[in-house]
Amino acid sequence: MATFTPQRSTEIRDVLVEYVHDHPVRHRRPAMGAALVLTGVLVGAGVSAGAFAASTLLWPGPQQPTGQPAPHLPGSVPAPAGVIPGSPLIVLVGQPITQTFNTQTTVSLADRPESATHARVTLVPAGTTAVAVTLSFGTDPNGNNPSTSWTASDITSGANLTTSYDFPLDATVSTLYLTPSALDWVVTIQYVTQVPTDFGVNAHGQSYGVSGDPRGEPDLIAVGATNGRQGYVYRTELDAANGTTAAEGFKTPEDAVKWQEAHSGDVRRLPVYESDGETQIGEFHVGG
Amino acid sequence: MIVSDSSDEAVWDRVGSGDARAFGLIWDRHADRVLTHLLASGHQRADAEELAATAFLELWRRRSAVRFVDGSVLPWLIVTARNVARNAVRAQRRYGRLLSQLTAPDPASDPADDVADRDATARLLRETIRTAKPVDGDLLAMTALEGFSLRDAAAGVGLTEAAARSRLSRFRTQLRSTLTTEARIEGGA
Repeated sequence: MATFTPQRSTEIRDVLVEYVHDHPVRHRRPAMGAALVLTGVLVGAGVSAGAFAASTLLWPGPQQPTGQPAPHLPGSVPAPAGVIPGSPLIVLVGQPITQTFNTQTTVSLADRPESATHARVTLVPAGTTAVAVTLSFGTDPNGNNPSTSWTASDITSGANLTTSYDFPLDATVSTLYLTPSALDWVVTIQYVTQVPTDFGVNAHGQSYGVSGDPRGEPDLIAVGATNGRQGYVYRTELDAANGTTAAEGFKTPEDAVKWQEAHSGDVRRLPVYESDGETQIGEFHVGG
Repeated sequence: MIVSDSSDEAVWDRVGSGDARAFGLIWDRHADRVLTHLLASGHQRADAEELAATAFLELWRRRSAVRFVDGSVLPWLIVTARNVARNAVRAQRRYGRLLSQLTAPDPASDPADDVADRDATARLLRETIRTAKPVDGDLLAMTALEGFSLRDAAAGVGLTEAAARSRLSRFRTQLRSTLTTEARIEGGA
């Protein structure tokens, strides 16, 4: 039998172990058949609206789902005033790169600052149109990338087409793939370092912060209330209202469908609190 | 090398629960076998080493799809290595930056030592397997080159044993006729 030299074997082994370490198994929420409608906004970690399909926006999963690039993040720091605990601090590194395109285009991300953990990609339409528009952009060469689309009536009614997303960077990422239709676009790439912040802990020992963090979910999850204020809902109440708790008992997809049918049309109103978990400041609506 | 009595599946569970170092044990157990298979399939040493490393990266990337045969991941790894070799360009682009961290392979190794045999029939066999339907080639390579039982080979490629038997039988007939024709041509008759 052919063999690797011991040195070569150790070298590859080290690369593999490091890769596995950097791409751990992530435990995701049980998948539901369809997304529920939320009134109010879950405050996500560094995710900008527009870039993802509705279900992802309404239900942000872990920031780096299985199979996604996993950057080496710096150690976490306490969240400074004005930053929702758990959401990252953004440090811009290097100068932004700008390019105009109107056909399928690739932009190299290979020459980037060492400390960059994400590429902040912002897409702004460079013109107007009266037809439907789609745009797909991302770093997966196999095309598994976010895409977004607007109908002609979205556009005539003045929809904002500007779109942005922070793509995680690791050794597997070297190119940004852009597939537009119907419009000229200006893409701006700004490398950033995302510094994670710690969840806060209130006087009752409950953690509070943003949902969707790879470290887990806090006891109190940051949301935007229907009155526009930012506060927190209890994770247990949210899980009960959105079916996560019920989903743990589901054995088959039919169980999930039955649960959804039984609860379709319900609107569950959850109290939104300050970070103390006691002072109510608004409501968060699930379902409907 | 770490020696352990536990099955690959048990080691895999440890990796899944966050023990990345246990993945090194899977590498220690099967790296040479995968390398040997790739060399026997006609790849040069430097390519075979990189393809073997890539197969293990794929093993982790496609972790939710991994199948164990009697607790062993080897059949799955061999099939993955063959897939990686078929899609080498795509796989190596995915892991290009990772693989570029490796030093260049030892230039002193003699490629002649690496190829299982240089016999014309074996070359023809490899060529026929290479151009066959992937699943047929995989089945034949697993049983004829690697010595897996038909049951284990079938599990490795995700077929029932009956389906694998019928595919393999058809492919062997085709192969036999190719080899006979070639032999006649070479013999000048």
